[in-house]
Amino acid sequence: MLGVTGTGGSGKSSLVDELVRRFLVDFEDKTVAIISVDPSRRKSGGALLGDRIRMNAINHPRVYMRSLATRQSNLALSKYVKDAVDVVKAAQFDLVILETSGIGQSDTEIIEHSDVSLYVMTPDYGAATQLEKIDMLDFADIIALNKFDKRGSIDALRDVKKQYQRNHHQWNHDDQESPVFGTIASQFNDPGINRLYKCVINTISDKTNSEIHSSFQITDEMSEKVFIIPPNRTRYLSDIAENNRQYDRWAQTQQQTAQTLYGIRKTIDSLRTLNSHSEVLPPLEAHYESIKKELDPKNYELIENWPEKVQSYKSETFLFKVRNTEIKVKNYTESLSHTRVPKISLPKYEGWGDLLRWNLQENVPGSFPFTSGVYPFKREGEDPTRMFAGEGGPERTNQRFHYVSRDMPAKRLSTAFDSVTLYGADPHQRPDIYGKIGNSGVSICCLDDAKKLYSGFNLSHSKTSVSMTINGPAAIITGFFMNAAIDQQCELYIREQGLVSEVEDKITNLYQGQEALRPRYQGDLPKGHDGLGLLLLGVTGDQVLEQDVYNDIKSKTLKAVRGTVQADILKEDQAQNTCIFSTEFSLRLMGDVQEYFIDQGVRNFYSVSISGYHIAEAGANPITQLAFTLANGFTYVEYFLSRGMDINKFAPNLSFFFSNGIDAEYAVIGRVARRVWAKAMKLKYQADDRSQMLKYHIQTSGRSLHAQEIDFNDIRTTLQALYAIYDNCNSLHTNAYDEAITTPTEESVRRAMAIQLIINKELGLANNENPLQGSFIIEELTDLVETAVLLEFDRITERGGVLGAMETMYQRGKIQEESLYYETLKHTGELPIMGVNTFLSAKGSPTMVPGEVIRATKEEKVYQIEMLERLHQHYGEDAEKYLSNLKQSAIQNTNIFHSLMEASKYCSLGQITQTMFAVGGQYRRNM
Amino acid sequence: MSTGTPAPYKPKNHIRIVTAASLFDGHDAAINIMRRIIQSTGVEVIHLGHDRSVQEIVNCAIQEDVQAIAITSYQGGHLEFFKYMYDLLEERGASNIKIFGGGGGTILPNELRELHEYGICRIYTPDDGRSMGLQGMINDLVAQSDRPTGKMLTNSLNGTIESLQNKDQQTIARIISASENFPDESAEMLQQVKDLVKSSPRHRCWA
Repeated sequence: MLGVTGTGGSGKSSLVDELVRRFLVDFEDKTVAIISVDPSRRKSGGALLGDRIRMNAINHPRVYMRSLATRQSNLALSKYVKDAVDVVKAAQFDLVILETSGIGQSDTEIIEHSDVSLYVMTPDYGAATQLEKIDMLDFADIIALNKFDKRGSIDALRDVKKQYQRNHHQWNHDDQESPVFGTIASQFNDPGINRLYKCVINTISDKTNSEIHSSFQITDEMSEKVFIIPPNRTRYLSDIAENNRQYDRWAQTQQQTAQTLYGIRKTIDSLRTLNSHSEVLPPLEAHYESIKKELDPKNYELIENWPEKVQSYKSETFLFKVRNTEIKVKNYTESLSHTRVPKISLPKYEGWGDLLRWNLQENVPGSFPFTSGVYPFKREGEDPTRMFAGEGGPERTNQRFHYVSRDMPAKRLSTAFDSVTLYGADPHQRPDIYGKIGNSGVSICCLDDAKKLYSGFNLSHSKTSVSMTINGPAAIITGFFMNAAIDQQCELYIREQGLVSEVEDKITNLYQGQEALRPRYQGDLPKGHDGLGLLLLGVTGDQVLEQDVYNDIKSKTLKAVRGTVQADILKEDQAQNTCIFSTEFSLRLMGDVQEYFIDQGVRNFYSVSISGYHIAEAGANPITQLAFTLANGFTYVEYFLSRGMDINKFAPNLSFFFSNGIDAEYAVIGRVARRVWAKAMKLKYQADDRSQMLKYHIQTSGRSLHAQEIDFNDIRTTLQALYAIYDNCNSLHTNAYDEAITTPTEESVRRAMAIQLIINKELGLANNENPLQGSFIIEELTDLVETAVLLEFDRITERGGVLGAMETMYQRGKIQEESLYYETLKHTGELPIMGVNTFLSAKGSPTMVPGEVIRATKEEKVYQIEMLERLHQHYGEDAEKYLSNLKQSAIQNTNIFHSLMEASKYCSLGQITQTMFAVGGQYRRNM
Repeated sequence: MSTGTPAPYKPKNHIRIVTAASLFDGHDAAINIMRRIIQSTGVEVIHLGHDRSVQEIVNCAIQEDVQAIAITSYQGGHLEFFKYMYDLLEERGASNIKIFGGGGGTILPNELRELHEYGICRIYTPDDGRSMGLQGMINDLVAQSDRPTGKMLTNSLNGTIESLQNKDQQTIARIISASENFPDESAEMLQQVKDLVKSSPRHRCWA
């Protein structure tokens, strides 16, 4: 029996889970029972027995676990705890683990009755003398100093070892031999836990003369935290806040200097007209020159060039360059009354101070700090309208994509995946999986699914872009997507070169004797579908084309594809919970994808969409949404930088995604985001123009839709859409009014789309592209929100940066608190909501219940499972080979996405995730 | 809206309940609120968090010898999920464990009826929330779970020794419950357990 005690919060459950996981791997037939004791609440008699939530290894046929509450005794060891231990002993488990949170005397009692005892503590016990008060250091056989990544852990390890030796009178012992181990249970395959495990098993074996002989291989390494953010960079958010504040202070003094200069200049000019007092002119001129030295020459230039800038927006057309192509844009639109409405309207300031402030803090769209927009003009012929779909199998969603994008010049496809896919699993007959196949999203588990999903849309076309809402398994789905795009181009090549029948023969050969396994598009092609992407179902381009031809096509395709994959794992842990791998491993995957994109020149596909949407949907207010999201964004920047990537190579591949609610702050969310980002990128990270430009997609808030008087929802969405379009969002999704109660119908989606189209095409003022600039309240709100965001950065820094704050669940807590505040105000009616708590109809505005909802059909589900089985059958051995390559690249620390691009041709999503669990660790849930 | 919050129900027995959110479902806000109220109503809650399969939940419920399972499901597939849980409990001989659930507006009225008819004890709706209040819902759930565990085994170990030594999880779980809830009645049986440990070469007896 192994007794484990330790202080609350020392990570006992995670540590026990890690020991159990190793035990199960180490011994193929041995069994383990865990008895875990948590305190009862004396007042209510209730208890939270929360050890299981942290455990992943215990769901195993060789494990029995029982959680016990201390009940009235409030001792860790009451009689029935001992009885429980005896019961599992009588059941002849090979290993019994008793885990208690050390309460008083009971600790030592556990030790007396354990064959081996383990005490778990953390390095933050205070001064070394405190150790003399810890009884357990006298009694425990083995000590784990967990959370070894905490500050001061090396000293703590030394002190605890010394104390252990003193207590055990081992004066002559070498430090290294005392059984005190620094461990990081939260880290996958932690070397410290490995050594601890080995020591535990060996000690048990020695003390009990049992036949437990570990064959577990360990190295002599110490636990060392694999840092995502290097320790000397953990203050990055406050560094950014300080950097931005410094810019603001600088802008302010520059503004004052400019204003003084303007005053002197005006004085000189009027003195000149007087033809008297000429004696004061030379000293005034001298004064002017000396003050001018305080003005940054670039700012002086800004002021001097202002009339020219104004002129460029006054002429008929505006000229500018994008990636070396000259673009000409009309500066005006004409209204029905023949008024020439300017696209960009500029301030009429005369004073240099105001002019400079405007240029330094606002500026025209497309110029630093990009407050009013990142591009000089909106793209013509490409409204920021995304077409959402995701339901049933890939065929149904494909048909829907064709339906919603019909007659649209730009095909901007947004993909929602079913929850099976979101959690990286394969479709299966097991009912708890089966029920979720193809519901509220499309079921995608292999390359052929992805090919069908986007078939009939040329993924390399400059007017096609695809966004994929997926996070945990994002890298794998990206692999499917890239391969689908590559094979489309292979298909076009095959058609151009007249190789179709030759290729058909090759495919027939590849499926010799397995004809039934070849996947096909189910049902008729929808209107507008030209068949592209279906020729190579069941095979990949490299199986039917020469290798160099294929490589050439692959390389060109990667450079051409446009789109975004959400892949934002930080906000998953903070708000949405679709994490599957350990956070460290997920981040590593993101880094590998980005590195691959840089190597292959993938410029138009964003490797991450840093999302505030889910943070807001979980209840955060707009300021918290913005602050957390930008903080997450900067965390990715710091991580990618620490991996040696060039900021100018990756920053343009980052994109953002916000929620747009109805609060005042939402009027400026884009303005603040762009400004904070640009100032940090330019001045803190010395990044180039392109990297300074924060691009974002925005979606009207789902949370602001209500299940009562659902007709009113379109009004809310319209106002939010107006905020977003006036704020120059880069793309926008408007929710359907019935989304609060059901899956939107074609009718409701059409209305939602009409909202955007009416604003963009009918609303006259929207012809102007900077309608918010020059408004006092907008400027003030922007400043207020910006200040609040920077303050939040400081608060996160105090908690050790984004990752440190996540460990103590700071973000989660704050989001929950703000959610509760909103619910309370909504409940009391202090926050008036029409048709919900105010302005109720004669019938009391009852909650609407949908009559029917769209769900995946049985045929679709069964077909998805069949497709998967065929894939496994056809690629059985190949799949094994590629999965093992994948494993190797994870272990040897080479780029995993490289191997994923290959594995995703032959393996299913579930196969790949399972393989990666074994080398990267599974996500550990939080309370 | 409810008129006043009802007082928490006072359980007659020691009640244990497993709480979780369904498989591939990250919506854990509701279950976290519910489990806190269940705890403060005097129940020992074994909380599993989000994204848990039926098999994991059922295994846990049996090992922990609970009276009930409370699940939220917001991600669809609830018909299959709850029915499978019911079936699996039955298959494992644990159909005395009651199933409760909730899923806001995602569970339609006709589906709710279907689940109740199948044997799911109760699925709570947003309307229940409005009429009963949160504490009212929890009182209902806890009252329906208020039955003793570990009682049937209090006499002796005869016949169950074999299944204990075969590590039958249900047997182990029930004996532990018996010692927890009915220590006097089960004294004789516990003595047999200790004798068993003493005769085994592997472990030392404790108490």
